Amino acid sequence: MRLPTLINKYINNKRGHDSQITDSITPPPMKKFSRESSPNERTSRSRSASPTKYRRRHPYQVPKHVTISKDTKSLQLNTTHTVAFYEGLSTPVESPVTTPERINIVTTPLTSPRPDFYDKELNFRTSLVKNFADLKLQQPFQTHPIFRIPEILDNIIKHLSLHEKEAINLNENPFKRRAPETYQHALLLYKDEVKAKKVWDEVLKTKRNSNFVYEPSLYNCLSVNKIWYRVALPYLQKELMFRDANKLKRFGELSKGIYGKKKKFTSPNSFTLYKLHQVAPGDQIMEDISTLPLQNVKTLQFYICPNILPPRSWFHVAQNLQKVILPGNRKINDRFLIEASLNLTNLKYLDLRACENVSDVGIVSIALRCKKLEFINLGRHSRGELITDVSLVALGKYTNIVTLGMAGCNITDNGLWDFAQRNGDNVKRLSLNNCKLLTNFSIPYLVGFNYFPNLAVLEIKNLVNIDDVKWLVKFMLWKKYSNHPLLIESCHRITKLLGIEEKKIKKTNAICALSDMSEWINEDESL
Amino acid sequence: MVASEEHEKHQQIPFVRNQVDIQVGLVGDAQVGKTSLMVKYVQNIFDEEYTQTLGVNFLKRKVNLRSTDIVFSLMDLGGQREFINMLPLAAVGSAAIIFLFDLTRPETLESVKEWYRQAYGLNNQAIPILVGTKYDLFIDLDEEYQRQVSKTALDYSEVMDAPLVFCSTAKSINIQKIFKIALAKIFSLTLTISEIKDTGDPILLYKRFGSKLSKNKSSPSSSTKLKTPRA
Ligand SMILES: Nc1nc2c(ncn2[C@@H]2O[C@H](COP(=O)(O)OP(=O)(O)OP(=O)(O)O)[C@@H](O)[C@H]2O)c(=O)[nH]1
Ligand SMILES: [Mg+2]
Repeated sequence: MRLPTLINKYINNKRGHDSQITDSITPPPMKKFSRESSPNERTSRSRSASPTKYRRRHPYQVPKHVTISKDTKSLQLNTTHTVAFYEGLSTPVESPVTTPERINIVTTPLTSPRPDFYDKELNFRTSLVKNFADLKLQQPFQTHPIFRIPEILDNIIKHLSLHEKEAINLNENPFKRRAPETYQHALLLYKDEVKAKKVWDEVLKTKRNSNFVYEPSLYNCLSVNKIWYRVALPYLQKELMFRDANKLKRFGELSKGIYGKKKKFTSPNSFTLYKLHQVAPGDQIMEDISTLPLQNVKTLQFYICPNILPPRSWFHVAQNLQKVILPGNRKINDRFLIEASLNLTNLKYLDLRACENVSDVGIVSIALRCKKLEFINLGRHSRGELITDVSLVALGKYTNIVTLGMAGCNITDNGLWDFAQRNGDNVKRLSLNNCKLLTNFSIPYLVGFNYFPNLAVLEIKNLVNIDDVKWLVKFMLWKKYSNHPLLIESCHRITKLLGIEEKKIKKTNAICALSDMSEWINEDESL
Repeated sequence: MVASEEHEKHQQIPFVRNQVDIQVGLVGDAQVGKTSLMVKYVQNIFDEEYTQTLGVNFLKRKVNLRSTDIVFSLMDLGGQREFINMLPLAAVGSAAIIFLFDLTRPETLESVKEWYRQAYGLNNQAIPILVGTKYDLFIDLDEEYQRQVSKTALDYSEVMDAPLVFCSTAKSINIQKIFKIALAKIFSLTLTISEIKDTGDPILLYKRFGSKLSKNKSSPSSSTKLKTPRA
């Protein structure tokens, strides 16, 4: 391919001359050629037959080259963006790293150093013009003006970064109803065939599409143009996230330089590794990233990275760490938690879902030392025997847990009573799914006697020993009445029981109401 | 030790009160006494002075029974012709619609026909109740006139299948009973208060009326109106 090489030549050439020319010939920026110089001008130009002409004029371009650049229009094929000047900005945006912008240089003949070379190229270009004459030019400056205003762009990119963060934490949304297990279950939940069908179809669809790969769009924003680069970079820096082991590897290698003398990068607020199954503990990557400057990190997330542990060195630096999210990790054990707890005095949020090597010992050490802990999730599918009442009692005693996930753990009625007495007032969300040892004597009575007055979400799927749900329903109705509705997530069997009980209670209430009303209407009235 | 202390703090969650929401629409010609009746029922106040209602007035009265709160939401529509476009506010969603006329002005009874026709078009499930107002002024009028009006009113009642009540807001006659009849008809409850049939007395006729409708319509309104619990 000749064209790319050619472009490269120009790029190289330009680099050498750009600054020189800027300094000596043209005072930057030349308003006259800036597209944004006046609104009137802009509108008249946008209507003109050949907007390319204006676009190609680099602000630094000297007028004598205009004729030549006219001939080179056709080379604009894939280079859509030139420097976009923001009206308020008096200097062009500096380009820290090569951005696609540079490709545009092709249109700046000024950069050609030797006239003879230049003539040759001109011939070549004329032939190119012929060859591509029937091709339709892309409209230049297709970006809407609002995408050139940094404040607005900043807002857009901020939302994009939040969106990306959310995409990973989808299952964290505490007040979103979980998907039903079957169509029948959906029917019980929504009590309406149309709605149930819709919800169930949605479930099937997401099941089918579960391989959907989320595109890292924030990263792509870097390559749009200079303003985008400048605006997006801080967000990427703040929330570091890797879904690709190779990229992490490259980053690890570069990190010393990036965070070194130049100080271009600052310590991130969050650090996330997402589904890096392949990375193993001994890998060089882990060695490289162990020295990252993480003193400002508040959130540390290894989302389903089963084989790697956060390097020990991090916990010594990361005093600000508040959220540690390590679901599905096989390497985490009690020893790791004991060591971590020594440093994580500010920890508020600890997610150890499906970390099946963690046992009571680790949790007790966390409960003892992390006084600010508000969220803990120990839910698991196997090795439930490792988490027992011991953990529950310790958490109740030493912390003010708001959200507690105990799914699949071997806790008993005794442990739950103890926990509720000590800490029930704080609890807003409680997950007891698959806690097979719990019976009618704990959770139903505990809510019935208002031990969890602030409960907003209760998960009680597959509690095989629970069949008396009277108090659960009464509690639910009472919460609804007091305008703090409680969401109960349950399996098909318990949902059905709840439904039957609710109907029963409502029927009794209706009979009461009717008899009260009958009595009232027949009362003697003096009025 | 801690546990027993805690135990005392914890009591069974309180009994949830039932709440029954009933919307009642009040329609009829201007100055027949709709606003007066509503204010009297909700606030037990009577005002001699007339203030024209612009659009729709809305008041709530809560009746606390042993296990249940009944909330009457009263929608009072201005009787001026120009407010007819707001009739849906009073008619739609109402479990009962009270059609009022002024016992001293027979033409207001005549208008009930049109009010009923329009309201029924919007909501044929509501229990209609026909109410003659200003009974305190009515009894001073000519006996023959009283007989005439009573008879016509009863004819209307038959056609509308609506209980008939003569009331006086000024003298507090039959005010509470209007709403008790409404409640009884909405929920098909047995009402035993005695009827008043004689000309010259404050008429109170309900046994024959309003039950056909509630039986025929497989009482969807009565079952939906009873909500337990609602905040
Ligand atoms: N003597 C007597 N006067 C009444 C009675 N009810 C209402 N009035 C008077 O009748 C007049 C009209 O009453 P309103 O209640 O304002 O009439 P309205 O039907 O609301 O009139 P619009 O709002 O215009 O539709 C007022 O001056 C009341 O004081 C009654 O039972 N007896
Ligand atoms: Mg009025």
